Amino acid sequence: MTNTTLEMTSSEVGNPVNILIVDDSDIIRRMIARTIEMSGLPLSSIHEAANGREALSVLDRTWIDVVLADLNMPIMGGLELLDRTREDAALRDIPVIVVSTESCEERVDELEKRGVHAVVRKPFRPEQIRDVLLSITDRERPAARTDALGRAVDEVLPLLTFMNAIQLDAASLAPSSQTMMHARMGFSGSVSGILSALVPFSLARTMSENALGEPSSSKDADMIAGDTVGELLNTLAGTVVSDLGNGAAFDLAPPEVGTGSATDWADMQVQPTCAAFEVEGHTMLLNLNVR
Amino acid sequence: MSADTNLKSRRQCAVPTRTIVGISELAVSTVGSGTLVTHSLGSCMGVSIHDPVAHVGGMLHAMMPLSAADPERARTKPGMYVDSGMTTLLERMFALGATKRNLVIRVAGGASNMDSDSVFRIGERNYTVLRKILWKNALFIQSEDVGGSKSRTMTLDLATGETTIKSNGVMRPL
Repeated sequence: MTNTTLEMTSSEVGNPVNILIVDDSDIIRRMIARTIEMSGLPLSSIHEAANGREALSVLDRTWIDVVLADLNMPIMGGLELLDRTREDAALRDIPVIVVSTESCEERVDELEKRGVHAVVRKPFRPEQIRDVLLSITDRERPAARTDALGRAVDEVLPLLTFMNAIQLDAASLAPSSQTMMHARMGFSGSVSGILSALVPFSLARTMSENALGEPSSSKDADMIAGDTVGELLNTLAGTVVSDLGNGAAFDLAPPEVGTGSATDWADMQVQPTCAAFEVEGHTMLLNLNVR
Repeated sequence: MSADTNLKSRRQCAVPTRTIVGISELAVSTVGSGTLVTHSLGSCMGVSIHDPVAHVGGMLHAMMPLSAADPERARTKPGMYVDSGMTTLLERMFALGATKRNLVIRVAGGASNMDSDSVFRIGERNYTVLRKILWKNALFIQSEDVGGSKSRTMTLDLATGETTIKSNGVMRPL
């Protein structure tokens, strides 16, 4: 698996896109990547995976806007990958382009029924890949909703943890090498996407003590702090989705909580979708990706 | 006199110029008005390139795919071959201020004529070699009218970048 981060030129407009190419052939992945680079899309990154399982692992830790996937691959093929993404609230709405030797019309119809955006037959002309990509990225992409994050934090934090927050400019923050917790959860409804958070461990601990109304025993402090961050994310996601979706029904996936690293911090703070908050002398990051 | 020297001498004229690009020739222009025209594209490859920002236009009418067939000939007449013709055309357009990102490339020809050419599938080879050179240069084809067995005339309007194809008496935009 490789990850190429590309420089953007100032003339490009729109949110830069993150693309995942899934194919067991190195040459095909490189040809698709070249075509994407040629097409002049506002590009943030190109990720590659050699099969469905690798693709799921990329999707698990990275925000991806478009997937281009082959069908016949070892370990996990494109169909299973497609089904797995359709079962996951956070991945359900990712546009998938199948790039495959499949030419049987019935099967192509079936793929489209399963929610595949387009099927491009191999071998392809570079212009075909470009046209399909542009047809997706030309649609109006949701803008970064750091405003909604700010409103949610103002509503949730005082109630859950008896704290107030000041919103900061995430991009101008210094790197952080503190011990921190990383949490993410998917949601779907009238808007769908992923909300993730990086919360310094010391802040998470204070939050949990505030929520409990008493100091937690050192024995279960870690567990309670993790649980608090998970619940913080859960209530923030609920508030944000309700806000953006004007109160329409939505599903939340259970939050996943683990530890975060300085790299996670550096990656998250540069995203246009990231918002930073100062809470009682600590800084936390929230990142809201919606589609 | 080559097609582009011709253009330079006419640059002062008020009347829009119509520059004919002959077989195995190429032409570039920064005039921003008038047309570049090439006739009788059969198995030959016609390429029209326009940079609407730099107002640079160019056209190629190449007969054969690869200059390796006669490198000496390709030096004196690069437009004869698709590979040397495209390289020279692009170099000259870049020298006149065109940028890769703004190029609009339209392609016509590559027909399989019912003469001895078809034995060597020259039209197909010309088109494949053209695609290879564009891929190597990271360039897309905007539109094309290739293959079949008809003869085509290609015209590039240097003011608008509009390219038209005339074949069997019918003129339409490419």
